[in-house]
Amino acid sequence: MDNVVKVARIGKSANSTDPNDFIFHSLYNTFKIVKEATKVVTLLASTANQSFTEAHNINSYVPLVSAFAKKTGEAWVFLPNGLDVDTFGAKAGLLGDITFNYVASDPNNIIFNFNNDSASTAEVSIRYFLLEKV
Amino acid sequence: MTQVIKIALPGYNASTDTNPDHFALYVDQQTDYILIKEKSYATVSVTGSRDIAHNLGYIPFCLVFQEISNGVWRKVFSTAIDGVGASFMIDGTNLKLIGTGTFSYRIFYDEVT
Repeated sequence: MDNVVKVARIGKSANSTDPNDFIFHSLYNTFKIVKEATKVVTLLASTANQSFTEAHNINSYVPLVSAFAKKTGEAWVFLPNGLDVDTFGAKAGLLGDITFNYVASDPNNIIFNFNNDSASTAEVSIRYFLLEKV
Repeated sequence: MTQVIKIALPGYNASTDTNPDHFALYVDQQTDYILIKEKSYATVSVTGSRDIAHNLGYIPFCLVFQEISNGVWRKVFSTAIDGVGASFMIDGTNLKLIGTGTFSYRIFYDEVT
């Protein structure tokens, strides 16, 4: 018989067999955020495919990475494969100047890639989370 | 009396701190700060598409990444990333990886619908 440590959600039984009923259950790996940080980058005007790197300093494995971006002075957060939405509408669709093309990781670095369609430079703040190994 | 279980991260006081970001485990019987629970993960080769059975009967939270060049991994979303063409879909039975190349996925027990 397994020795188990488990913490049930409010209103749920600790004897439940549904993993969704638990805040924590020692038989299941709790997915871990290894590191969380922010990085501010300045995008060149009217330039696509701008990459920025940040050393992750994890020497033993390539971490999965998840990231969120926000243009300075604006409220919306946007994800990789998306853009900062300045305006939107049924006919116009989504309109924005900055596209967060992707976030990637390799054995040494995290790579953030953007397009800036604006005629002005733009400052973008990125919050990123390094997760467990690939 | 409220029953509390807290495990603080290094440098934080479990008795006085109330920011859930400062805890590995925070249970106070008032809010469910759920820790996501991993069901399975693997790195697989995909040509066109590939179904990964999870058989949970509901749609679980998952994360998908693709190796876009040797040793470089990029997060995949539910629509194709320009220039790569990778995406994924998930239902109550399968995670469907779409694209060609090496994918890494993690499926969690935590339901999203």
